[in-house]
Amino acid sequence: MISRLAGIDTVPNECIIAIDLRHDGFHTPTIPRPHLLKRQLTITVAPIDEPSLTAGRQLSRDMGAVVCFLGVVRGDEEGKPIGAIEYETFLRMAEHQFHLLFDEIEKRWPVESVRLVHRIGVVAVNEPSLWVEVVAPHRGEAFAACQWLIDQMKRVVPIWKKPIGPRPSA
Amino acid sequence: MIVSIQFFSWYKDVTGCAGATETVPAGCTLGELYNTLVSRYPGLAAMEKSTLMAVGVDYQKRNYVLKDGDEVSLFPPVQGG
Repeated sequence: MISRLAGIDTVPNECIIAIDLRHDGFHTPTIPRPHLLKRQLTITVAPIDEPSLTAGRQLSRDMGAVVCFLGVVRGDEEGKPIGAIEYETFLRMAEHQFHLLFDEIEKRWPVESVRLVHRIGVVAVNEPSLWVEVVAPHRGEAFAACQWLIDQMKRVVPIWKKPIGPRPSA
Repeated sequence: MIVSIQFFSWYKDVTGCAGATETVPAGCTLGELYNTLVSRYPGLAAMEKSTLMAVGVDYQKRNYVLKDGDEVSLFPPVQGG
C-alpha cells in the first residue's frame, strides 16, 4: 500500500486507513486518529510532592510545551488572616467531573497529557493545594488548556474550603 | 419511592446533619424535593438560588424526575483550587 500511495509514509503519527469497498478504484482516504489524552488525577490528603511529580513527567518527541500551575493557600481569606484551609470533597463526583473536563480538553486541544493533584483536608498557609501540568505541542494550547481546566474546576468540581484561623501564638 | 440526600460543606451546619432519606411520590421532581427539604430545614431557604444539586455524580436541574433509590446531593457553590 505504501508503494502505491506516494507520500503515505510521511503522514505523522498513527492514522486510520478507511477502505471504501464500493469504490471502483483504489481509494484510501486517511483519517487522523483522534488523539488519546493521557490523564492522571490524584485527590489526596498527602502533601503535593513537586520533585516527584516532575521526575515522573513523560513527553513524546512532538511535545514542545509543559505548563505547570501550583495553587498555594494564601494567608488571608476575605481580608482576615488565616492559618490554613480545610478542603472537603464529594470524591466520587469530583473524580467524575474532572474526567468530564479532561474529555473536553481532549476534544478542544491537541494536548498529550494532563496531570492534576488536588489536596483535601487541612492545608497550611503557603502550602500547595493544587498542582496541574499540561503537556502540548505548543505553548498556546498548553496555557489555554491549563487556564480553562482550572476555571472549569472552580465551576463544577465539588470541592469546598473552610478557612481555619491562625494558631494562637504560644 | 425512597431517595437519599447528602449535604456538603456548610449545608451540613445549616441542616445539622450530613444526610437524610425522604419518601417521595412517583413523579416527584428534584425541585419539589428541594421544597420539601426547605420546609424540614428552613435554613436552606436563603440559599435557594445558589444551591447546586446532583443526582449520583451528575448535576441535574430542578425538573429532573426522581427515581427510587436516587442519591441526591445538595451543596453550595464549589471552591476548589
